[in-house]
Amino acid sequence: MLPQEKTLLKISLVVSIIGIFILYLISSKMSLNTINISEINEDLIDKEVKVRGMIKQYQDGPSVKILKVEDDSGFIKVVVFKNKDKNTDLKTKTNIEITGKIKKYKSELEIIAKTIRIL
Amino acid sequence: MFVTYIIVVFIGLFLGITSSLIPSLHINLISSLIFTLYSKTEIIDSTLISIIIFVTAVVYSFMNFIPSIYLGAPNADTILTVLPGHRYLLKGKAHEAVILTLIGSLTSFIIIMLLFPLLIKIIPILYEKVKEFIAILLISISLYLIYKEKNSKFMAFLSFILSGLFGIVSLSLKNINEPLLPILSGLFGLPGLFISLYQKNNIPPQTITFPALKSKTVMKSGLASVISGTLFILLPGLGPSQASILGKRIAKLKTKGFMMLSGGLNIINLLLSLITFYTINKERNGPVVIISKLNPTKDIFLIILLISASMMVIFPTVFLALQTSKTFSKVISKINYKLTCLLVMLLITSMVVLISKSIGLLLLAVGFFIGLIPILSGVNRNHLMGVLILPIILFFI
Repeated sequence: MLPQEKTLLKISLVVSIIGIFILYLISSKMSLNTINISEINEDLIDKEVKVRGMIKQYQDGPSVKILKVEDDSGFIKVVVFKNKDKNTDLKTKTNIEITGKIKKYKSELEIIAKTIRIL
Repeated sequence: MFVTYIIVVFIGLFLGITSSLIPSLHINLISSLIFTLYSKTEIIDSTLISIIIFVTAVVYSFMNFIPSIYLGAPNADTILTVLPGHRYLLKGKAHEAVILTLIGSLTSFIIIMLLFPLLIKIIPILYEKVKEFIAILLISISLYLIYKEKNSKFMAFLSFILSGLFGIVSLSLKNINEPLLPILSGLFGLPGLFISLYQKNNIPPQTITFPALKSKTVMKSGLASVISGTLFILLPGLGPSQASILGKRIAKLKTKGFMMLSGGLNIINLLLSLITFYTINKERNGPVVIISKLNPTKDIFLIILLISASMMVIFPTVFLALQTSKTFSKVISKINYKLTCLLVMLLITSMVVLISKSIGLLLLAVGFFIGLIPILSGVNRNHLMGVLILPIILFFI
């Protein structure tokens, strides 16, 4: 290896470690702002969002729970995969905070829940 | 309806050719762009848009070796072919390298078509057997690849760990558009181009010749790509690049066989991903992920439509790939190679800024320095796939 390559390798190692650390700091500081359900539109497909609302309907399927969540601005369907959900006490009229990705299914927007917190 | 079908197949053919010739532009990004455009307009049926995406991906998988071989600008699926391909370029035989990848793609396509009904039955059975051991298998394969590293095992391990940590923090960033674009371009695209700027690579005039081949080598590499491709399609995070290492060892292939194997694995990954989508609900390939979004209810009719559309474009694609390669061969020694590399680097950076914004630029920069480590220490760049494998291992543990 040429001396210049050795120097470049050392620089690469140092910058990589510093870069990963900076990205870690950014990802830990980056928190989602809560949005109103009415603000959810097709531009947000595949994006992560955080909403708060009340469970208006609750359906328990074999592998998913389907919730209809409502806030002051509107309502949306929330799909919760059971292997990702540790909340056993989800029921109607419970206030929850959901983070998850927006997806489109049969022309309707829905949230695929990543985390659900009971408020 | 038939006329519409033919029109969308040709749209896919056109998109596949143009997109595959733009260095480092990955098919996942192209599929996402088509999907975004579709979801904003919904001007045509979701089945037709699925055909466009699938045909684009088929054509892309045949043709994306051309910029990899001639310009040394790989994406995650072609990284391992670049080095042998580049050697062909420096010997003035880049066109032979392209022919080898095309023969590999074509052979694998025919084998997969013949085995399609059988694979629909076998893949769910195999998946049932391996799904409990995904984390163990990923760890074992990663360690095996590090152990088999000929140069520095420590640097191979370091490349794997650093790229893995990079993957964990990068993929946890929220609301960044197309994070894989800066991540993979940083790790695999820019470093190779950057090194090319400092190497005295004078590209010799290229000759248009056909490689001397034995039919036994063609069949051996075809079967090796089908076997390794089938095993690797069951494991998330591992793609054609890793499968080619396994296939090369299984079949004890030399350079020509390896080029054909690599050529075949891209199309195998795409076709098998269609089977995993239909049978086990797992999509292991970007375009098939988009197709699954467009068609949540799996329908065998859709699968048949996609397969027949891909059959229609195979021969035009091979013909056009050969013509394109001949054109590249004629001009490559006349153009300023370093300037071309610099322009490709600028193009990649501009795409990242445009699509993934400033945070994407940071990912590109960090990925670039991590991507330089294996090149400078002389270890295989395949270890950088830790960027996807390590987060998946953590998910399954």
